[in-house]
Formats: sequence, C-alpha cells, structure tokens
Amino acid sequence: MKIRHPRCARSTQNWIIAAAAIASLVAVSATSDAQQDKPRYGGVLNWFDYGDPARLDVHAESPLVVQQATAGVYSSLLHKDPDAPTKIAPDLAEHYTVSADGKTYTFHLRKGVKWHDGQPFTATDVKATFDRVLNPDFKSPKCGATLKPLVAGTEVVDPHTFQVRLKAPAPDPFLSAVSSAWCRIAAKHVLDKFGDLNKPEAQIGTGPFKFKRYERGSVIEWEKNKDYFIQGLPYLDGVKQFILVGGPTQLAAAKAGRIMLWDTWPPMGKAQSEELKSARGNEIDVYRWPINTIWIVFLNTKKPPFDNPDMRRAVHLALNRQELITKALDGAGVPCAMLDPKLVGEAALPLAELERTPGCRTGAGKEQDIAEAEKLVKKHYPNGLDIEMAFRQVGNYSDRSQLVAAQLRKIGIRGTLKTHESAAGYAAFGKGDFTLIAAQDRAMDGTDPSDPFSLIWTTQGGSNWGKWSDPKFDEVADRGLKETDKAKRAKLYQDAQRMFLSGAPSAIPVGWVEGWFFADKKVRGYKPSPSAYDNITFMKVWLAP
Amino acid sequence: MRLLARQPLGVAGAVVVLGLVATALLAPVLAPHGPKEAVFGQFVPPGREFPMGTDNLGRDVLSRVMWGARLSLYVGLVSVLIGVTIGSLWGIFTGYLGGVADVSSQRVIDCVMALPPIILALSLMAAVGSSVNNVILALTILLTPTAARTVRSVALAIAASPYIEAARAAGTSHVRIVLRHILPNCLATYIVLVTTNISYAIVVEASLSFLGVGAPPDEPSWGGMLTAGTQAMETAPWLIFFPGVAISLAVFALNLLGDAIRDIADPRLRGGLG
Amino acid sequence: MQVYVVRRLLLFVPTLLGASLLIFVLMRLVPGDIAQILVYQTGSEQSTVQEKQIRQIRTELGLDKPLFVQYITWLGNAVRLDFGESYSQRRPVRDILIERFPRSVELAILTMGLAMLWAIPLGVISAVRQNTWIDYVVRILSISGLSLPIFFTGVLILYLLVRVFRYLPPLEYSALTENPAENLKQMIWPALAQAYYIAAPIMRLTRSQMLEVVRQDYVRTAFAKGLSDRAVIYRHALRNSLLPVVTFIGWWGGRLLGGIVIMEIIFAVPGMGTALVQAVGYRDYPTVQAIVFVMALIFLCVNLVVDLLYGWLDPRIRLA
Repeated sequence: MKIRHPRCARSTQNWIIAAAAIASLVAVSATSDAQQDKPRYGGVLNWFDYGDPARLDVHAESPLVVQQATAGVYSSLLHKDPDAPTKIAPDLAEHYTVSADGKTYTFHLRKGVKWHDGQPFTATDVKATFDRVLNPDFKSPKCGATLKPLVAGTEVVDPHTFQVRLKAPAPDPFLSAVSSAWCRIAAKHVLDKFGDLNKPEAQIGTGPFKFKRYERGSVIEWEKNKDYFIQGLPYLDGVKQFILVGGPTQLAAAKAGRIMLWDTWPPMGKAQSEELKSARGNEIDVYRWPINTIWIVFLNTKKPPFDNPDMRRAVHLALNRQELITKALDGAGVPCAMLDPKLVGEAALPLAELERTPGCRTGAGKEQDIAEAEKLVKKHYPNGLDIEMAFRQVGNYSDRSQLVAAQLRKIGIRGTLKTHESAAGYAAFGKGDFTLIAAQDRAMDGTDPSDPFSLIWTTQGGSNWGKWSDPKFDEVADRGLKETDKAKRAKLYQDAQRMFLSGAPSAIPVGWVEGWFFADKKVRGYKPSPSAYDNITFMKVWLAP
Repeated sequence: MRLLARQPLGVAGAVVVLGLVATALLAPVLAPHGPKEAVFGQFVPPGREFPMGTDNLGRDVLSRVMWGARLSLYVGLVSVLIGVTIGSLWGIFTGYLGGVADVSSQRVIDCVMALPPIILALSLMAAVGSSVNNVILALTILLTPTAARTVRSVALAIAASPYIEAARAAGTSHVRIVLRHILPNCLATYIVLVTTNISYAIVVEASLSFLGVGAPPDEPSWGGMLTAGTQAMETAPWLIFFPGVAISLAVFALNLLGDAIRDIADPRLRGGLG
Repeated sequence: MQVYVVRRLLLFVPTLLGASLLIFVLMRLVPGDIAQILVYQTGSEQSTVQEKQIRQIRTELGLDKPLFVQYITWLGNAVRLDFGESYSQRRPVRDILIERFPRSVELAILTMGLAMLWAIPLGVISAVRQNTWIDYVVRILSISGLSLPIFFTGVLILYLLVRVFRYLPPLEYSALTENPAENLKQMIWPALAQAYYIAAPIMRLTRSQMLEVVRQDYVRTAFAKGLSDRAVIYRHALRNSLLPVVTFIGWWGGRLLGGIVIMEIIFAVPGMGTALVQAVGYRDYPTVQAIVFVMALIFLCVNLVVDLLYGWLDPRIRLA
C-alpha cells in the first residue's frame, strides 16, 4: 500500500507538525494502551448524537449530526488515517498518481470491493459521486463547495481507474477535500434508485459498518459489515448512537455509563468533566483536546457604531481574552491567538509576543488598554451607547456572550443579548443582519495557516460576516497562500497577524478553543482527530473486556 | 387576629408576598453587587463574602436572586395584569352583550385555546425574538383567552339574575348596568385570577428559559438561573438551590394568598389555574 | 342528543380553521424560512450562490406564491388528509404523524392516570378532614407540585436516579406494543414528573368539590339516616363531586399533548413535542401546521367526549 505525494510536501509537513504538537499536548491513555494489547472482536460501542439528523445525505448536508449518523457506512477515495488522523491515507483508492503539470490525478481503486447490498464497486460509482457533487445545480455545502472551484473534469479510465483534471494545480485543497469525511463515495445504482441519500434505506456504502436502524429522534444503529474490504476489520459488532438533545440528559447518560465516548460537539465544561470523574472514577479518561476552532467576536462594519474604526479598535482593546477563556472555557483555549502555535507551528505569532501586544496583554497593560478603549468610545458617544449583541442559542455561547457583554459594559457599550436559533442565526449573520456577534466559533477543515485567513479575515472569506475589507491585508494573506518557502511563509503570516492586531479589525479573535472530552477506558484504538468530522468510522476501534 | 386564626396559610402567604415585593423594589439598594457584574471567582461556595455563592461566570448569586425577584415579579405582574384585565373586560362585554359578538368571540377563544400553550408561546417568541417585554407579550396572549372565558361565565350568571333584569326593565343603560352592577360583581373572580396566574406566569417563564426562548440569558430571571444551574448540579448545588427556593417560595405564597382571597371573596370559586 | 353532537361537530370546523390559520400566520411571522435555514445552516458558503439556492428551494416548495394561495392550497390538501411532504425530514408529514402521535398520547394518558391516582384520593382526604393537619399537609404538598417548573422536576428526577440509585432509564425508545416493560421503564419517569405538576390543580378541585357536595342536603340526609362515613363519602359525595373534575381532566388532558415537549426532551422520548420543536426550528411549515392541526383536533374531540360524558352523568345538563 503505497502513496505517492509528489507535490504536497508542504501539506504533509504541516500535518506532521500538528500531529506531533497534538500528541505532546495530551496523552490519551485509552489510545496509548492500544498498541500493547491485542485487539478483541465483538461488542457494541455506545455514544450519542446531540441532535436528530432527520436528513442523511452526506453530500447535501453539513451539520455534524449527519456525519455522525453515516460516517462508518461509507468510504472515501482517501481518508484521514485512523491511526494518525492528521495524515491522509488511502481508502477506496489504493494509491494515486499526479501528472507532471500537477493538474491530473489518477486514482487506482481497490478491486473486489462490494457495496452493502452485494453489488460490485467500480469507477462508475466514483464518477457518479463526483458528477453529483460537482453539479452546479446541486447544493453541496461541504464536498461540492470545495471541489467545484478546483475540478475541470472527471473520467472513468477503466473499471478500476478514475481520473480527475484540475483547473490549476492545487494539491492541498484538492487532497484535503477528497480525503474529507464529506466526500464519501456513494453507489450509482443507489443514487439512481432513490434520487438522493436522505432515506435510511439509501444508506448503502462500502464502509466497515452497515446502516441497521434509524429510530427517528431516538437511536441510530450500525452493524458490522462482514464483507468489509480490509480483512479482519472492523472489530466491533456494531455502533449505537443515542439521540440526546438535552444537556442534563447527555451528562446523566455519561454518568450512568450508558455512553462510552464524548467526542462530539459541544465539548463538556470543566465542571461537567469533574462531575463525570467523580461518578465514573477510573473507568474513564477525561482529556482536553483542541478542536481546530477559533472563537470570534464579529463586528458589522456596514452599520453604526462599528462602521467607525475607533469603535472596533475599542472593542479589540477592551475584550479581556484571558478572562473570557478562563471563565467560559475553563481555561481550555489559547487566548487572543489568530493562529494556534500548537496546530500551525511557526506561522503563528509567538505567545510571548501576544503577551505584549495591546489588546491581548494582561495586568497593568490591560488596564491601559481598557482606559484607551473607554476614551475612544467617549470620543464618539459621550454617554455610552446601547447595542444588540447576537449569538446562536447552542453550546455554551450563552455563557460566553454574557461575559462579553459584561466586559464591554465597562467601556460604555451596553449590550442587550439577542438569541437566535441555530440555523436562523447563521441566516441572519450571513445576510449581515447584526451589530455584534458575541460568540461564534469557526472550525477549520485543515491545519494550514491560510485556513482561517481564507475563511474569516479576507474580503472574500466565506465567514467575513462583518464585511471588513483591507486590500493591503488581503494582499499579504494572498502572498502567504502562494509562497512555497516555509520560512518566508511563516514570516508573511506573522506580519499579517501583527498588522491585523494593531489595526481596527472586524472579526476579533478571542482565542483558539479546546474542550473537555472523555472516553471509557474500555474503548481502544480510537484516535480523536482535530476536526470533529473526521475519523468517526470506528473501523479500528475495539472494546477491552 | 381573626383573619390569622381563620386563614393561617393565607396570612403566611401574604407576609411572604410582601417580603418578595419589598425585595423586588429595594433590589438596587439591597443587592451587594450588580446582577450582571461578572468579576468574582467562579463557583465560590456560599460563605461570608457571598452568602449564596457565585455562579459559573463569577457573579454574586445573592444579588442575582434579589434582582431576579424584581424581574420575575415584574414579568408575572405586568403580563397577568394586562392579560387578565383585557380578558376580563372582553369576557364581561361579550358575555353581557351576547349575540354575534359573544358567539364570534367564543370561537376566537376556542381557536387560541386549541393550540397547546407551550407551543403557542414557543412560536410567538421565535417570531418576536427573546426579550423581557416579549416574554410579557407571549404570556399576555396565553392568559387573555382563559381569563375571558372564566369571567364571561361569571358575567353571564350575573346578567341572568333577577335584579339585573329589573334594572334593565327600569330603563337603565347597558353601560351603566355593566359599570354599576356587573363589573363590581366580577371583581372577586378578577382578584383570584390575578393572584393564581402570577405564579403560573413565573413558572411558564422558567419553562421558556429552558427551551431557550425566555428572557435574554444575562437578565437575572429565576427560571434562567435555574436552567443554567442544571449544568453543574453536583459541582455547585447552590446554583439550583437558591433560585429554586425563590421560585417555590413565590409560587407557594401566591397560591396560599390566592386561596385565602378566594375563600373570603367567594367560597364557591374553584381552581382557575390553567 | 344527536342534534347536540352534530352541532358540536359543526363547531369544530371554524375552530380548526381558525387554529390552523393562527399557526399559519404565526409561523410566517417567524423570521427566516426553511430555504434560508437549510442553505445557511453552517454559514460557510458565498452569498451569491446561497441566494440562488434559496430561490430554487422556495420555488420547489411553492413559498414564492402569495400567502393566501399557500394557505388555501394547504387547506385543500389537508381536507383530503394529505399533509404534504416534510422538507426538513424528507418524508411525508403523514408518516411523522403516524409515527409520533401514539407515543405522545401514551405519555399523556400515563401522566393523567398517575396524576388522578395521586390527586383524587388526596383531595377527598383533605376535604373530609378539612382544617386538620392532614388537610394542611395535603394542600401544601399539592401546591409544592405547582411551585417547581416541570423542566426542573424532570432534571432533578434524572439526576437523583443516577446519583442515588445509579440507575438511568432507557435512552432508546421501544414501542409499547413490542416491548411493554422497556417502554414503561422509559415513560414512567417523565409521566411522574409531569403528573406531580398536574396533580395539584386536580387535587384542589377535588377538595373544593367535595367540600361543596358534603354540605348539600342529600349528603346530610344520608348521614342522618345513619349511613357510615365511608358509604356516604364514596357512594354519594364522591360520585357527584367528580363531575367537574372529569371536565377539568379532559380539558387538561387535551392540552397535555403539547405540554409534554419538555419531558420528551429530558427523557429522550421521540414524541410529537420534540418533532414539533424541531419543525419550528426548521420553519418546516407543512409539519408544524399538520401537527398543530391534529393536536387541536384531539383537544376538541377530548372535550366533546368529556361534555357528552358529563351530560350522560348529569341529566340536567342535557336538558339545558
């Protein structure tokens, strides 16, 4: 099983940095023990889904619940290595080759693979999948959205060879998309028969588990695929996920030992994890884990008061990130960082430098910043001002927003909290229908330093909800994207961060978010990935007695 | 003294209600800290410095419970006064007038009451957005039809009584009959509806908080505090204990007071909770 | 009698129309529609693409037509019991109704049963021993049911079960018809929590009714005849005082269907309430309208049955 990576040295390097850093950050004993004993067969893994997915089409949907419901049923051409989820590994494609100009990828597919209904898997299925997500009229928010701008055309060379032609060489984004959990390969005959993948009956994949049962609003079950294309896998007889919507219910289920794993969103708080430890003692491992996600306070530059750079600067100076992270995330986070050194290495501004930067510093420096912020607000609004502070009613956004409001009240910005339902909130934010968003996490698909810039901070960024635009800043970010020399690239990104933090930004970084999770000590061979979407097929997971 | 002997529970209720009202009015003076001031340590257990401890964001629970009295009683009182008053007037006039006005208003009430209250409140809050005043609006809409129906039946009974017929025969105007005879006779029902429904409003407000459509989360509402407290029941039991006690105490006292008023005003009136 | 039933049934029509129109208008006032929500659900795409997709979905669902037309179309189909397709669940709304309603009805019946089991005897005792310590204890106990928000009672039960007894009710729903034991193990707790709340007004009503009846002449006569306390209370007083209690129970029972949503969330019961909340979140109009329509219908039917029962128990009503 060999993979040739002629052009993606940079990507691999970054994944390795991230892997090493994450490995040193936490020691998950549940997984480190795994190498010592021999995997056992049998048993059902129980965990939970924080919502009812309702629709199951992995190509057309984007919530994590959909991924959780279907992950083990499907395979992709490439996927994140189950033993080291920061690396890309072969899945349905045994290996691939890249043409000299970097524009043509040829995937050599495994032979003898069968769909869960017994039909043989061939390159036509891959073609049908790509045609489906690339169709301009088809809404494919994850796989399609990343592949559409890159791919020029696809072709079936022979039943076991599939070719993709790119518009321009783009190894990182392309391989990242193809190996993502959203670009699962679906069967042509299933798509023809059902039209989409929403129905439970349409869940026919080539993955380690078969879709067994979907009791809506209650439970989703997978059972072992005895004909899985990797001999001897999976170890588990099945996977069962309970649909638990209420926070107290989730915690009660964990305390009672009914669920063996909490590696979903939202993470637990410290208090919850402590309670769990006291209830389950040494049956479980509680661990802190980065989730490749940044907490942003968004300011709308198209509306008063934040169309005024002074007011944006005031918010940036006044927010006490350390307090926000300590109180709302129980300290699990990297305050003020635009890039997390743990995840991207040298491209991140050193934490020691952040400590000295106005807005990010602590102690006497912070007092100065707050006084300065107050002065800026007074200059434009001598009596202070009242604004709406929006947030989506999910996870612990409520706690976070209350703290942001309390901090800004000190400089005369009096916020009234406005709650949105989850999806309705995104709709409002996307349309620019807000003044300030007090708590909103943005998750990255990879760990390249360019990711948050492309997503949040540049004019074209998909989550540039504040409609902030600085051509000079865009230019630096763009140069960073194209630069191939590692040291020069790190320097470019560091410059961009300094420029951003000394200005009047609209998407203000509060910090990189980490969370508390747990795994039952019986659960072996499970490696959490930095993205909640990846590596939840449980193909190599087994249960100790 | 005689009142105390005859209605010991009622007097106890009245005392507690007065205490709560006093707390609510004096909260700005009594509370040691601001209700939204998140500057202290997190999860500090009750002790000398913070008699009721601090919450997960480092706010003084005592201050929040005191300000919470203000908010909860404000929400309860305003929504019930508006809802029950509008409902009562509506019930009296349509009940007295009868005919098309009565029949059509009965159908409107049917329609609203056929919708489950929590669902009605939930979609209303989704439509108007969550703020303290919108919670009041939703509660008002829930309470009005029930009040209208209850008061209407009382008004009907009065309108059918012989002395009203006599008054009508004597040529007294409708307006005068309603104002002089029917309104005063519905007063007892009105008072009972108000006292019992305030506690209902407080409890519904709490449920709305649980469903995420209550007052904004930094507002110190007892229901919101209770909801937030369920996240750490073991780590910080004081976070559910004190707001829970506050709600129970208020509901308890209001109900006892309502019972007593009902017994004094009209022993035949029965449980108007709904 | 038949005329009465027919007249009542005819009254259903305007009420159902009104209720469905009310929820139709209310849902349209909620900001955002399903197209926006599906497209923006992760907020990660470019807005021009998004706007195009939103228009597509709206056309597909007929949301671009005038509101009046939408309502009439919906109504026309609903009359033929065709409730359309749930866009958020991608299946016919009728399937959702068939799947979810029996569960919530079961929970509602269980709740009401438990509440009556607890409330009526206590109400009687409290009335018979009026103004004794038993009366006070019972009254305080019943008000205490009202004084905790039901979500809190539910969370507390769940917490104590796990903490004290290391027991957690099943998280997985089993149908009553397939596995009654597992089903009851899950359903009994939410029913208990909700029953504790509802028992309070039932108990109070029973008490006040008993007090009223006990003072009436025929009861006094019965006592005078030398009948034992027991016989008087159970044969005469209780039967008559239960009439208004029955009405009240029916009225509340019909409404309970929507009220148990909080219990369904806490105890992971996949019932009507959770489906409705999810549908409201997605602005899935056909689903919301159908569920509310059926809830209103059940409410009206229960009330009709209660009225008929009442008339049958008390002939004076029929004459009136």
